[in-house]
Amino acid sequence: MIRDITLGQYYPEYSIIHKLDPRLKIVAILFYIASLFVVKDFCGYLLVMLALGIFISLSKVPLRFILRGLKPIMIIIMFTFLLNMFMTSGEILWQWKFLKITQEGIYNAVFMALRLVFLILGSSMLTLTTKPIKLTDGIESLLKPFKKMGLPTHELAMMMTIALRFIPTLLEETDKIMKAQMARGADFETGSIFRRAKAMVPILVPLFVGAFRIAQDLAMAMEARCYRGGEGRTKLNALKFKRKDAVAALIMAVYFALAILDRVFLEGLDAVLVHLVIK
Amino acid sequence: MSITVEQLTHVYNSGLAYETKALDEVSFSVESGEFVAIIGHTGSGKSTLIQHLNGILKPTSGTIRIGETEITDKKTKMVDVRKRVGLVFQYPEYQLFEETVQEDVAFGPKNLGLEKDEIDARVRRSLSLVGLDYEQFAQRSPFELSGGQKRRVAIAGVIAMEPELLILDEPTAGLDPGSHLEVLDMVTSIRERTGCTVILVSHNMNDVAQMADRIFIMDSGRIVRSGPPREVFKERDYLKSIGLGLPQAAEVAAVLEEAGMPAAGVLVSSQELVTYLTAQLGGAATQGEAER
Ligand SMILES: Nc1ncnc2c1ncn2[C@@H]1O[C@H](COP(=O)(O)OP(=O)(O)OP(=O)(O)O)[C@@H](O)[C@H]1O
Ligand SMILES: [Mg+2]
Repeated sequence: MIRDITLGQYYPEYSIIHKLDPRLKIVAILFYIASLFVVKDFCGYLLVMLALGIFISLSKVPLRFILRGLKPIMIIIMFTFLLNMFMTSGEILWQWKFLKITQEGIYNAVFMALRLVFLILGSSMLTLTTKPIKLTDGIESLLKPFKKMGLPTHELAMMMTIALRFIPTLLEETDKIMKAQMARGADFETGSIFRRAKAMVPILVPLFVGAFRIAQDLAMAMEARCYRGGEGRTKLNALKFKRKDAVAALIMAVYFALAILDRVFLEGLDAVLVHLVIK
Repeated sequence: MSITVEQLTHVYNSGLAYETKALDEVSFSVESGEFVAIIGHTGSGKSTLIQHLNGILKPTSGTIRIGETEITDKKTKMVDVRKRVGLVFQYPEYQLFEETVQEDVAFGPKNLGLEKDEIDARVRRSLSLVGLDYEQFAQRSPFELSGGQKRRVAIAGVIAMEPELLILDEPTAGLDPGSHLEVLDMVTSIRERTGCTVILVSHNMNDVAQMADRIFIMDSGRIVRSGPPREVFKERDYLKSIGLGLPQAAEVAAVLEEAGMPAAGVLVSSQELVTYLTAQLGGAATQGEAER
C-alpha cells in the first residue's frame, strides 16, 4: 500500500531517456511544467498529451507503474474537480437546492484535473528515469552560478542526494513497522479522522527513532571515508552534454514554442467548440 | 491450532519488470500444539510465508486455513485472526514506541478491546514469561534498554495477546550466545505454559534440530523437504547444495564417518556426540587392550 508512492522513485531501465544529461532533463521538466500553465485550451492539452506520450514510451517505464503514482493524490484531484464543478458561475445546466453545475464549471473541472494529472505524471517521470545521484549532480551543476554568491551548492546537493536516497528506505521501514503494529492488532483503516491520526503514533515514533539511527550510521560511514565537503572534490562520472542531449533540447524548444503559439492563436477555440458540442 | 496451507503463491510487484515470485505453490499443514521450524537460506521466502499466516500479506493465489477459519476469505475479520496468531517479526525491537515498557506491552491487548484489569494481568504475565522483572522494568522507557532486553519487551508485546499460534521470525538474530539461549528457553517455557503451536524461523541448525518436532526446508519460494530433524538432516550433500548445513554434532559425526569411523546416524546435540565418541573411544581402547 505504502509502496504505491512513485514520486521520488527510480525505475531502472535502459532507454534513451534514462541516458540523457540530467541537467537537460531538469530544465526540460521545468519548461514542461511552465507549458502546462501556458496552454489554455484542450488543443494545447493535445500537444501536452502527445509530448508526454512520446516521452513515456521512449522511457520504457510501464504506464501502469506511472499511473500507480496517481493513486495517493486521487483525493486531491477529485477535490479539485468537484470544487471547480460546483463553484464556477455561468450557464446553469443542472441545479439542486444550492448546488448547481454550470457549463463553464464542467469545463474548468476537467481542465484543472487534467492539469494536475499532467503535472504529477510529468514530474514523476524525472525521478523515474534519473538516478538520484545523477539528479543531484545535475542540480549541483545547474546551481554553479550561485556558488560565487556563497551558496554551498555541493552541500545542498549532497543533502538532497541523501534525502532522495532515503525515501525508499524510509518507505520500506514504514511498511515494516506498519506490519509489525498490525500484527499487534493496530487498525489504520477504520474510525474517525482523529482515531486514525492517533493510530499513526505507533508508526511515527519508531520511524523517527529509526531515521535518527540511520542518519547516525550514515554520518559515521561518511566520516570513516574521510568525507569533508565539496572543497577540491572531483567527480568519477563528470556530466557531459552530448549530441543526443542537443537533439532533445531542440525538441523541447519546439514543443515550448508550439505551446506558446497555441496560447497566442488558439485561445478562443475551446469556447467555440464547447458551444458547438452543447448546441 | 492447526494450520492448512494450500497452493500458496505470492508475487511481489506483480506485473512490473522487477517482480519476484517469493512463494511458489507452497502447501503444508501443521497440527495443533506442534513445534515447527522453518529453515532456508537468505531470500528463500521464509518471512514472506509467515506473514501470510496472520493475514498481513495477501496471497497472489492459494488458501490458508487457521483452525476452522479460512483467513484468505474476504469476509474474515482480520482482528479475529490476529488475536489468535501472534507474529514476532525479525528485529522486533524496532517496533517499540510507547513511553514505558508497561504501555508498550499493553498495546496489543488494548487493541483487542480488553478490560483494564485483564490488560494489567496480561502485561505482568507476559513480562514474567520473557524473564523481565515487572517491578524493575515496567516503568522504564523501552528506548533505554539493551538490545536483548528490548527484544524481550517486543516479544512480550506479542505474547500478551495470548495467541494460540506463536510465530517467531529469527528471534535470536544478532544476540550474544547468552541471550540467544535465554530467548530459546523462553520460547520453550512459553510453549509449555500456554500449550500454543509454535513456528520458528531460524538460521541456526543446532537450535532447530534440538527444539522442533518437524522442520520445513525452503529454497526459492518452495518447501523442498519436510520432516523430523533426524530425517531432514540425513541429506548432507543436498542441504549443502541449497546453502544450508548440518547441526554441529551431526557435521562432526559425518566428517568422522568419512575418515573411517562407524556411522553414527544423525546427531542433534553435543550430548549425543559425546555419548557416541565415548562409545567409540571406549571401544577403541578395549580393542587396543585386546591386541596387547
Ligand atoms: N517487500 C518486498 N518487496 C519486494 N520484494 C520482496 C519484499 N520482501 C521480500 N522480497 C523478495 O522476496 C524474496 C523472499 O524474501 P523473504 O524476506 O521472504 O526471505 P527470507 O527467507 O525471510 O530471507 P532472510 O533469511 O534474509 O530473512 C526475496 O527475493 C526478496 O528479495
Ligand atoms: Mg526473513
